[in-house]
Amino acid sequence: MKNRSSKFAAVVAVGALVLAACGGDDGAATTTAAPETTMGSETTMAPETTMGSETTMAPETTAAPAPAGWSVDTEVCEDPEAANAVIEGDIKIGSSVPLSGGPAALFAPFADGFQAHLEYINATEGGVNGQTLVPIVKDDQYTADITKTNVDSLVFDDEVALISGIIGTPNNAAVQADLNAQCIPQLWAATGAPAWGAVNDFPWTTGLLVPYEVETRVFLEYATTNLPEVTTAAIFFVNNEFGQAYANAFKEQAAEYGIEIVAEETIDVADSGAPSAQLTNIVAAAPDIVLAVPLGAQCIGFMSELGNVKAANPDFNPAVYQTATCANPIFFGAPGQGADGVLTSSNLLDVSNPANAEVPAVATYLEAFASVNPDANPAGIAVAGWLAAEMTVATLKAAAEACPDGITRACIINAARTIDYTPSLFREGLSAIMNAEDGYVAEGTQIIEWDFEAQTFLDLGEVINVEGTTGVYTPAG
Amino acid sequence: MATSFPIDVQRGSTLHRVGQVVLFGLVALFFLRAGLTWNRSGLGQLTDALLFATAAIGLNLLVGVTGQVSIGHSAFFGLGAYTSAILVSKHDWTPGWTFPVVVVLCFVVGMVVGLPALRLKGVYLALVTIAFATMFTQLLNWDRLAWLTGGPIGIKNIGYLPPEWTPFDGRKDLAKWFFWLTLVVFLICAAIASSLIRSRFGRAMVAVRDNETAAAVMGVNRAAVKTLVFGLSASMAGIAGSLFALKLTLVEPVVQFFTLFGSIFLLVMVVLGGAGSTWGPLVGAMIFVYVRDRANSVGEGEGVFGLLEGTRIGGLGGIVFGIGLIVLVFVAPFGVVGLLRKGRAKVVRVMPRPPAAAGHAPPAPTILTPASPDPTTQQGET
Repeated sequence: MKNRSSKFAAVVAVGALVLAACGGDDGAATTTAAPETTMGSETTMAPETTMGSETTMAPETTAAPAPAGWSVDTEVCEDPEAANAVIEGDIKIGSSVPLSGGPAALFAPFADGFQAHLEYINATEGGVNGQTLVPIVKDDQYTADITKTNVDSLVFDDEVALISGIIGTPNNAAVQADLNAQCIPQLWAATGAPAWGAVNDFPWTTGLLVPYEVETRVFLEYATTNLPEVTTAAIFFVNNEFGQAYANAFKEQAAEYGIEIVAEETIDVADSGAPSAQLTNIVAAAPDIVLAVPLGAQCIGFMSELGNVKAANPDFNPAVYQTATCANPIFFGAPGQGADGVLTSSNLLDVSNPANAEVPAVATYLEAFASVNPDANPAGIAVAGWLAAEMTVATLKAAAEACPDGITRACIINAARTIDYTPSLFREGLSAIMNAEDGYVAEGTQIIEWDFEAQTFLDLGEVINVEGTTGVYTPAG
Repeated sequence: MATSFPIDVQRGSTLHRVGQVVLFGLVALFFLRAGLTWNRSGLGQLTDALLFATAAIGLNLLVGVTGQVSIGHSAFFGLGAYTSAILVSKHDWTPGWTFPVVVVLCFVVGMVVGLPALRLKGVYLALVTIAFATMFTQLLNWDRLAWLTGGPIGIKNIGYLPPEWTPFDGRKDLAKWFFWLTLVVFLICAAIASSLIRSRFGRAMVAVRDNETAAAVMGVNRAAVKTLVFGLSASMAGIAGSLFALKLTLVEPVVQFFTLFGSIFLLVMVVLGGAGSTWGPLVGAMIFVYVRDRANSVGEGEGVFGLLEGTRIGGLGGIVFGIGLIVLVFVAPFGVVGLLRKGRAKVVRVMPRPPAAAGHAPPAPTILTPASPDPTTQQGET
């Protein structure tokens, strides 16, 4: 009897499930994006070139006062009133970054840099608009599903005013739709994927880093201008979304420059061994230039092995570029001779270079950072954390100015999407600018080279600024 | 006259039934209250717990009840997730319709993966399943399959908004919709598992676990039992994975629950809750999610809790949780549910129905473990 009743219950439940399955659904979005960023290939690298070719939007105006002609539509928000409500008292700023797990050693100092700047602003300026800034940082182990849990908790339990500085492309992607529907600003996503420039589709999300495709173009531009003859290239990349994004952008652009890709070698995310086989293949292909996209400690492993193969093959001497995510004196200092002459890029001042110690912004940073975590190394990703917080503060200040009656979430995103600010640690000549036609905040960088003798980075040529050329991102479908 | 403890309650008696109804009622009340009053964050966590519990029910059938080791369930979880993601994003399927496909596909793949279990045992079988889990993530990353799986980039922008006929108000009620949907799926799986364990087939599963040779001698078809349980277990992991992907809105090879970590997490849930027990997977999954989410909050607590919250490098949290798990395995080898049963046995002892009292009922089933009259419980659990 009992058996029969439980079987009956199971049948009823299965029926209910089938019914659920039958229901219409308009949530099955199929916009699996094929990046279609509007970057012109014929861009001259002069500063302030504007290239946004697909500026299809004419945003509707809304209640929140908007600077420079762009404002978000809050009518489509789940709760339009909340988006336009004045944020009273402390301004809670939520973030989710890897503080434990595999990649934490690389990423964790980001949180220190982030908190250091907010505490510095609280101490020296009393917060923004007289409101104290309260950072709430959660650990997501670089895992997207935990990021989602964390962000839900930040929004509904901690009731943060905004989210800022989430690390990782999948991590930001996992919360993007929710935060945009809820109209919570998702500021300064710490990744360079093209998706953060989707001004029309995801106006509440803004990216922080130089888009990967800008970086690869800057390297190609540098190589073809400064090296005698560049006809072949090799790519070494980590086999995940991050590596793939670089590799795809590079392959597409190399074709425009008439450069043939002669070798493509990959490494697994979890592989911490020396990439001997991969470099042997690259040596055999004898490329003129090499793009290397390792992740974290793999930056060191790649350069160590590069030193070995160079010693064994004196004729092998291509221009090797490692992505900006490796542009960390800790990584370049570790492999010894192998790192000598390896190129990378950065849009930030090298805080570990003694020559910069006198720069007031660097001194301020080092002092503030030491007060938060004296044991951590202030170079590398920690600076990006500081930058994310500084950009957040600049956004809040602009929002306070534009909305004298009080800061609202709509004011914050309007201020972020129309920001024109020069972060204190940016290199000279670079600014953080966005507007209706420009969905990317950082579009310029400096090629730098590691000098083994001096144990520091040297600047090569001038800062290359392609501000405004990346346009906006339109997801396909 | 003072009542002497423990009180003996006969299985199937009115008192026993009342006790069961009260217990189920309390649990139902908890979920009902959560579904109606909790905020989106809490509901999201409870939904996670329910979908992990669904996968853990399947694993429990295999590991706890049938005694077959699998460290490859992350692959079935991932297979379910990817199947839904591919059908939704590339073929415009309504997400709900992908569930039956996931169930069938994972069942078939589960049976195939279970074939080595016919000849292998213990650590050897564990190795085969580890190989399967590892192979699965490699396949997801394989560029030749990128047209299907999206390769390292995976598939994004999938989701499942509440259908119009439901009382849920679009995206606003997304968390509620997922909670109730997951609860229904969980209940179906729990009902299937529960009735299966009590059936003739369930007794065959227990027999295979306790003494394979004896089971074979008694006429149990070991091959059928093992492969079918593998298939069923994989189906449950698959449907949980499908819900997981739709809730997360994306799939990627690096998602922890699709890697070997996921298999280990699911095993931890089964062991934590109590391998072989009906309630174990739910209890294990709820503890897992609770601890995980506490661990993600850094420095929010004061004093001792401030030290424990957060597993940050250099922090105590991770170490304490690890030690806690080891201690639990020592003091409660049958998990939290086993511990609770032990506690309950000091107050109330559930006695088996004596054959004579059953009247015209058929003879009681062969009991293989004299210390535990209920075939769903293991020795020492009562």
